[in-house]
Amino acid sequence: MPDLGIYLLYLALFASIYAVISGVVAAKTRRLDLTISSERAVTAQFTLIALAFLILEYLFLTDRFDVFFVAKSSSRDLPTPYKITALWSAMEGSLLLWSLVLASFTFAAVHIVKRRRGPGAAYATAIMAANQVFFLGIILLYENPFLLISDIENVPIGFAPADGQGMNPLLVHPAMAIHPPILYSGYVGFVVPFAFAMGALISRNLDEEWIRTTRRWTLIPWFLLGVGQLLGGKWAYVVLGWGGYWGWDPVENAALLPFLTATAFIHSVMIQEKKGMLKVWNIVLILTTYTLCIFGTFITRSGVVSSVHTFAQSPVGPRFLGFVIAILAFSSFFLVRRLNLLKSEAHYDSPVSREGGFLLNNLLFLGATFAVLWGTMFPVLSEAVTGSKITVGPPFFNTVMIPIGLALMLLTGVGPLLAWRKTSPAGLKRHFTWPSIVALVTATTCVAFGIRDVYATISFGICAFVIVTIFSEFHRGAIARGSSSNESYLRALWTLCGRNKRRYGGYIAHFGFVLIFIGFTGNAFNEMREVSLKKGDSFEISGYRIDYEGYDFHRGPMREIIQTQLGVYVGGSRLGTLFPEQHIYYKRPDQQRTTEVAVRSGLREDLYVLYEGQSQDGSAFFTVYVNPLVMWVWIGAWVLTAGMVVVIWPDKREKIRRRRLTGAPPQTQEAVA
Amino acid sequence: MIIGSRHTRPVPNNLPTGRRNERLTSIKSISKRVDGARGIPGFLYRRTVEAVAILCGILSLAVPLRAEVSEEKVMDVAVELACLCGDCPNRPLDECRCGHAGTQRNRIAEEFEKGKTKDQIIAGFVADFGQRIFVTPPKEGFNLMAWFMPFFGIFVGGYAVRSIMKGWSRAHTYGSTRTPAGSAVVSETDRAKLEKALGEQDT
Repeated sequence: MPDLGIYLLYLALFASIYAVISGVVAAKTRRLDLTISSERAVTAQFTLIALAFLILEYLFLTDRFDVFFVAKSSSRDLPTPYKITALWSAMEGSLLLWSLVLASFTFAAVHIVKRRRGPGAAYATAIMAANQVFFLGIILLYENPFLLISDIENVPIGFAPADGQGMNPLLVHPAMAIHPPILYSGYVGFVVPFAFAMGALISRNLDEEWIRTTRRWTLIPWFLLGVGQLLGGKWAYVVLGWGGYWGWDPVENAALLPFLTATAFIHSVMIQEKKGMLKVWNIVLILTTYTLCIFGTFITRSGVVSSVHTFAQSPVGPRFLGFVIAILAFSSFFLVRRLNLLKSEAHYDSPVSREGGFLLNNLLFLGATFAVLWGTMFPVLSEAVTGSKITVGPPFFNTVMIPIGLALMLLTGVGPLLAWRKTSPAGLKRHFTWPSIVALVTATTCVAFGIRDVYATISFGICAFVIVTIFSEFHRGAIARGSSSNESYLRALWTLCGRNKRRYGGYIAHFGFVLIFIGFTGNAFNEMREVSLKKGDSFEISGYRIDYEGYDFHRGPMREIIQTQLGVYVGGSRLGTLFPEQHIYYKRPDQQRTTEVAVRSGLREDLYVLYEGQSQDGSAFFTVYVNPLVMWVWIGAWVLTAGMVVVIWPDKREKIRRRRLTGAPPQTQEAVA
Repeated sequence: MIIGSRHTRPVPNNLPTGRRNERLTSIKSISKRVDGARGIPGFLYRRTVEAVAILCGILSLAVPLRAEVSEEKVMDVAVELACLCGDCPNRPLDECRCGHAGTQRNRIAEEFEKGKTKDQIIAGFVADFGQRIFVTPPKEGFNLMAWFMPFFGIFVGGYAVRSIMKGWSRAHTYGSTRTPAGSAVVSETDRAKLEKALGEQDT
């Protein structure tokens, strides 16, 4: 069975190479048969990789410990759902998952945009397949998950240990089970807009078609990358026990970088669609985004910067760096060669306009990207120049990024209300008077209630400003719609969102970001205490009284669990019970311990308790945090999801509009032929 | 019983080795020792206390007074230093909860007790760990670039955007036959209506 997996991967590699060659030849010769052939090769590649993936899952589920990767990452007592997710808990399997996600996106993109066949699409197919060639090559040459123990170590052929080493206990968590596939989908998904942009460049078809074709293909990975990061944050919050969800770790930063440039891209494409401007810039943004995706993979898998999230050191690091350089060189070459075809139509009147807002938005997003990249890589640069290592920790990123973040949040409220070309003083007054008043009142109230953190006060003020602008947009739209169609207010709101999904879905997504930002602001008020308690002792923090009511001990097949019990009171009345735990994986050679955080979440704050252990005299040690407003980060993520669903929901009217605009039915096979 | 200070808690016996190595002092164990003194006969106890007080008075003339190290004083140093345990994402020592961070905070407290100043303590850490012990790049020499470049980048980007916008503005003014927005051809009322309509239509 492991041999079959290897054969399938080799066949997938050959199919990918064939898809690259046939795609390029089809684009050059405009031969329909070759175009179809390359599409079939993509289908074959997807099928073969999916089969190899299923075989590896089967090996995990059947405890085939003669396979080195299975023995390293799983064990007999691992619950079945985690045997499935153990596949992506280490380098070899995670690369295979990456390859499968890439194959899925390539397959879906090629078949969904089939009716717009042409040289650009053929080149795009070849580029996506070329990416797959790289990943399959890396898997087969360096990180093959199907190798037997006897292939690697000096043991008899067919040797299988009685049990596997087991999965890293920190990864045995639902958020960690779904975080990698979602994050990879975000990273890999950008291959589609990248490939279509490159296809447009190579084939010289540089109108807005590639943007229209890939609009959803950009939004989906952007959304998945964002949600993937939030899920990772949730995992860090409840599993790692730092008391927080974001630590400006290099690997977290690596995922943030393409997210920032992609956010700039999804805004700036609107200028190209509406005004025919920023053609070069949009190409640069999407090329940068995909390059940063691969660069992030390089950071995660090379060990070039120290991080708590990196995979074990592997020889693949330099190959990824080489791939990043190759992508940069390839895309820059074609970009420079086609610059003369990317002349923008300059219709610009005033900086106080929607165009000006988008430009400022892009400047800030790119500034934020540069700041994060600079901070992440500066230790490497500093060591190269000065010879001594330095640390760039969270305080650096907070100092640099908070002002940029506040400016971006303000722009979230201002930008959408600016008119194209020029906003008149009357328009500015009409749109911004009330939001500004509410922002000032909010900031003043914060100060009156004793908030002395300047950034937090400004942040609350700006968030209030943006919320008012968003709601006033919905309100104005519903009133206008209601008066013209005699619909009720709620009905008018519903129709409004349905008829202009992109605009109002975008507002909902903006609202989600405001809520997330409110959650971030809560960090300014975190409280922490360490306590030692004997049974019956109590202590107080931030208005809570917490009683230690004892502990319980269980021994399971995988781990020992020490579960403590804490009663939580406010003003004498009991709010509930918390059960912070410590798990000891006694079967592992390193006797690894993990903490299970107990969190009492509320809209106002989280009471977050870690049980750290016990002394010989029976005192239990706890670290207790009160983290205000964290819940709003997760609520914001759900609102953002709702906004994205609205934005990407298929719109029949838009299709009809586009057909009318192009004046002809979409390109067919016959048209290409 | 509450132990407020982060660096004065007893070592749990079932913590990982890193944590067990923390040299911590239990307030509880100190209070137990004080309680134990009550078993001594009253007059002897008083005499002992008086003798100790006199001895302390004499000694205080001979050696510098060691004030108890406050948590704030320790944290004032810890906030500038990074936890280099390798398991935490370079968090400041005052925030990190791992055993290594606890050990380093204890070291700060001990060095204050020895009479060292903040600068001397930090210099000791730098001697042991190098510049990477600072949680942020030192604001001197080449490392100043770390702080300077992000804002410089935005400034340069802003200047570039301004230049591009000016270029577009000129191209539009000289190259277009369309009526520039904001000209007096359209009345203020009409323009307001138009903007409202555009605002409702545009995405």
